[in-house]
Amino acid sequence: MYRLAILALSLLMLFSAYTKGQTSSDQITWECILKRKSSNEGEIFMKAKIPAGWHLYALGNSANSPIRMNFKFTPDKSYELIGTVSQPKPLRKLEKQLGIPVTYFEDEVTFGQKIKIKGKNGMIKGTIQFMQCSDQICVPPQDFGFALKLRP
Amino acid sequence: MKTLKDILYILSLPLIITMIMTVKGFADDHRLADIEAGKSDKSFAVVELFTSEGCWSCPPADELIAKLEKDNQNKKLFIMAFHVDYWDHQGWKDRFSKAEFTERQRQYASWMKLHTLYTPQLVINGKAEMVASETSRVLGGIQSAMLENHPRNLSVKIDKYESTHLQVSYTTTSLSKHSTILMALVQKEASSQVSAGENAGKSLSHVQIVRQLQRRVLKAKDSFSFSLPDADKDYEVIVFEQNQKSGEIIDATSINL
Repeated sequence: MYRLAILALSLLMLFSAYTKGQTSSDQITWECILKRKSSNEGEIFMKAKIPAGWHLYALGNSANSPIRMNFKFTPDKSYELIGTVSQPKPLRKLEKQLGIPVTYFEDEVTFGQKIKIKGKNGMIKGTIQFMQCSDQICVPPQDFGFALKLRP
Repeated sequence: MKTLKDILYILSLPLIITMIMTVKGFADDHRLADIEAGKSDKSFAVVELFTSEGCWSCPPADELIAKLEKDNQNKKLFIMAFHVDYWDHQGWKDRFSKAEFTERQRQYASWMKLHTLYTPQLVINGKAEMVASETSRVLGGIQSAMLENHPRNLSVKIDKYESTHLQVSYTTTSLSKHSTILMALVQKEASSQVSAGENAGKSLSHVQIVRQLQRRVLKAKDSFSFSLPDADKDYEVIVFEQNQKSGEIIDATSINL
């Protein structure tokens, strides 16, 4: 039984060495929702689902690095931002190429932005610019646009 | 006694894996030596690497092409590294990057029906693409390209070379339809100093960096002019014919300055 398991595992290792490249289904996906805390306060939650083997760079990486990760909200009279986007504590590693430490997330992460609600109707529009890399490849920075309707 | 046997079986797993990896490593070294010696060069291989100093998964790919180029005695292996510009932004820039190189990679994505760009990507003879750090696939791809049948009708010569000005002309007898002729001015080597971060001052080395790329409709003969970006560097001009409908590279040659 063990022999079979060892053979199977070895073959799997060999096979995986040839198949760890990039495939088209490795895209990070986003889901944005607005949760109201009271009549005039709420929070926008922006959740990223990160496919296995990939990572998403976190906020706060050096501006002198190629990393781009930011959230842009289109101003509207129906709301205003309270503070800046929050994130959980990211993972950290030293990127050998440029020799700088970088922070990132794996699996799943939710960013939050608190807002003050000023109007009854309106639209919160924004863009998430993000970058995803695996151990083998990096995909160019991408923009994800969202629009959330404010209801009375 | 049974436990000892179990332990032995379990210990044999890493051994088997190490052996497989070693055999793969030997096979790759053997392939590399064959390619460099030009043993399988019935035809040519035009190898285009799309890379960037800002892409942190790119160094293994850069190292692989540096290895291929280092002992390259094969006159039919043409290597070009295109630095793409999509990692550049205010505050960070790869000095070898150009928007037209990104455009070239986009053109390949369209020819090959890929839904996204990525780095490091390697394209062989305009027909096969792969993650450029996958040594076995890359070397295998180059070997198979060199076994294909291609008539070789392209020749190139230097008409004028004065300090920073260069004029190169080509002649060909194959005037296939939908073909363009491309000339790449390739800097043989370069190193960049890292200006940011904890390891500021560390240098990154590159080989076969494309500094300029020009294309025109294919004629029986034509000549191209280049102005050299740095007069004191070593350059090579790689000339190749490409089908604009399929992306396939039909013929290639090169000349060292």
